[in-house]
Order: sequence, then C-alpha cells, then structure tokens
Amino acid sequence: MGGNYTGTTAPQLLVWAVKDPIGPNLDRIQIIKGWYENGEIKDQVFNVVASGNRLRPDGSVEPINAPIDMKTGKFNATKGAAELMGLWTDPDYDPDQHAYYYIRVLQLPTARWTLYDELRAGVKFAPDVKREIVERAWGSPIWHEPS
Amino acid sequence: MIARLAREPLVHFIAIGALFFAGWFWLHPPEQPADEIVIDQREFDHLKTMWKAQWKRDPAPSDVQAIIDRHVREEVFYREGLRLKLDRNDEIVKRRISQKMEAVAGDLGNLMKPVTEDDLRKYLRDHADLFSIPQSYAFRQVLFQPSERQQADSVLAALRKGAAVPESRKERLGVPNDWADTTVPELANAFGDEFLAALAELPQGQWSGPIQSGYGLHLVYLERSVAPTLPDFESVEPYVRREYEYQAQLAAEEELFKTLRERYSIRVTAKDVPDPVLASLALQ
Repeated sequence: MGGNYTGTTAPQLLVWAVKDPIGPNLDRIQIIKGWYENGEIKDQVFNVVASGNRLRPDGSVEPINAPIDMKTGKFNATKGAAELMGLWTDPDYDPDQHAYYYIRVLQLPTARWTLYDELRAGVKFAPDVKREIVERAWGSPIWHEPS
Repeated sequence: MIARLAREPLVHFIAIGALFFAGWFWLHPPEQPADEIVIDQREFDHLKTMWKAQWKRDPAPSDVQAIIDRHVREEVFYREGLRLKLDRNDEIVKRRISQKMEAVAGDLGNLMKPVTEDDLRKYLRDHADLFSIPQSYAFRQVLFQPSERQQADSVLAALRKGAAVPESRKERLGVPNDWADTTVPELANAFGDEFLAALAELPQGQWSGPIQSGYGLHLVYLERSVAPTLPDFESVEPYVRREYEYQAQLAAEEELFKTLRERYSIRVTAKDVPDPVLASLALQ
C-alpha cells in the first residue's frame, strides 16, 4: 500500500494476505478508514474477509473459537485460513473529505511471553494478566486529500 | 670607589654568576611556557583531516576559523582539567585508556608474529564449521491445503506419469514452485523446520509426498541435495583473515593482561565480598 488516491469515485481495494509458515492461520482481513470531519479525526474498522465464511451480512464477524493450549502454549493448527483475499469498496466515500485507508490482518491467537514464562520458568502472574495475543500485520496507509 | 668595587669578591661572585646564567640561556634558550598552545603543521593537518572526514569536503577559511577556535577551547579546558586532576578515577577515561592498551597489545602481537597465508589456511581447516556453506536442496513443489488431500493424491499420480504441474497449482499462496539450490537456513525461514526434516528423507529424482509445512501439504520432486562444503581458501580469504585477526587480537590482549597482572597484588578490604570471589582472587 502507500501512496495517494486521487480518484473521484469510491476507491476499491483488493487485499491479499498469506500466513507466516511457522505461525498459525489467519483469522480475518480488515480495512481501517480514518477521516477528518467537523474538526475531529474519526476512524472505523471494516471487516473485509474472514476465514470459514464467518463474515455476516451486517459486516460483523462471528468470533473464531481457536484458543491456544494453556498447558503447552501451542496455537490451534486447524482453524483459520492459510490465505485470505477480498475486494472492498468504501461505502461512505466523500471526495471532499480528507481520509486514509490501511489494511490490517489478524492471526489466530498465540501464546504471549507471560504464558511461556509460566510454563518454562515457573513464574506466576496475576490472573488478570493476558496469556495470549492476536498478532497483526498492517500496511502503509493510502491517503486521500481533496483537491 | 670603582676600583675598590672591582676588587670586592662579592662583586666578582655576582659578575661571574651573571656570565654563567647568560651562557646557559644562550646555549639553552628558554622552553615554551607551559601555557602556550602550539598548532604546528602536523596538528593543523590532523584537525583538517578530522573535519573533512565528517563533512566530505575541504574546509573553507571560515571553517578553518571555527576548527581552530574549537581546538583552542578544547585544549584549554583539557589542560586545565588535567591540572585539576579531573582525569583521575573517571570511568570513561579509564575505559578509554584501557582500550588503548588493548589496541597496543594487538599491534604488538601482530608485530611479533605477522599473519602468514599458511596461518590463514590452517585456520580455515581448523574452523570448518565457521566457513562451510550449509547443506542445500534443489526441488520443485506443488502446494495443497490440508483439506485438499484427495486432489494431492490424484495430482501426485498424474505427475508420476509425466504430467506437468497443473496451471491452477502454480505459485499457490505466492510460494514459488521451483527452488534452485537453496540453503537450509533459507528453507527453514520459507517453510519451517517440519518441512525440512521431511525433505531430507525424500528420495531424489521422483515425485513424492505429500509432506507437511506451515502452508499445507506439498508434493515434492527432489532434484538434488548438496552436502555442506568447505569453500576454496581463495574465495573466503577476506572472511578468514578478518576472523583470524579478531581472534589474534583477543589472544594478544589476554596474553598481555596475564603478563601485566602478575605485577599486581590485590588486597580486598571491603566487607561484603562473597567468599568464592575472594577465593578466586587469591588463586590468580
């Protein structure tokens, strides 16, 4: 990604992501749109494509239930997709509005260092400390500046 | 009166003394006062070289003014600092001087025992693991998702009968089908360790599999496997020399340290030094 969009019609973005061969599968691809409205910066997250047809007509995604193994730290190796691809068109495009768009890809959950410390070094963390994370990849934004 | 003075021994003494002093100063002109900062040609050239290294051009006259001003300022503060003994017990000064001693050790070591080509050849032989080119594989692969196991089996049967890789299976997930000789570390990055372990077991010259990677299932045609090889001396000489010189430097530092250390005894008066540390100091 990166660069400027100068068109007058709503931009269409083709997105494609492939998993890391030593990591878990992918959960979904999102587009984050930010824009400037009435002196305020606003943003919205759009789900573009999710593994296993979990994208609902209203744009929300059915959560993927793919927890890590709390005894070994291993991630779920069966759910999710090795590759996701989708086409997204901005539904609220306003050529007179400053805006940016960037892609974000979510991985299935993986163990966080806190869990590895507990499993390997016998450390104990408080119950509310996070033991797993969802890693994400993102691309440089595409900008739109009204002429 | 004059005649009487001329006979006075005290006057003789003073006159002869004055002559002595005049002769002394004539033979040994007074040295420059301690507070003189001399910028001789060598110093000036050095300052210009340092400046040029930073700015990549020759200094203009106004730059020269700035260079000299800065030098004078630094020299004045440096000398006054030395006079106030600010160099004593300063962490950074200590480290810098001890680094300079280490550098001296390396220079001395190199002077006493210059590196020969034979040394380097022997070093290469003795440290084959450092310089050898890792195991590599050349192969072709066709990728399937874990859910496509049946397609994998039927494509495998077709490939074994001489069919080409189906168009729909080219560059799946953006992974190339053809891999020319690629080293093990690169393949581990591209496919993961599990794939590599399975690849090492495959027969050469035929389609086989499927074997698993982080991407899915792969049918693989292993073209060749190249064992780790020690490269020619000529092709890796600069690397061997760099490593050799680095190790020689470390050895020279250690040797000099051992020699110098013998001149020192260590007495610990601090109370809370653990016993094992005291014991090891006593052994040295």
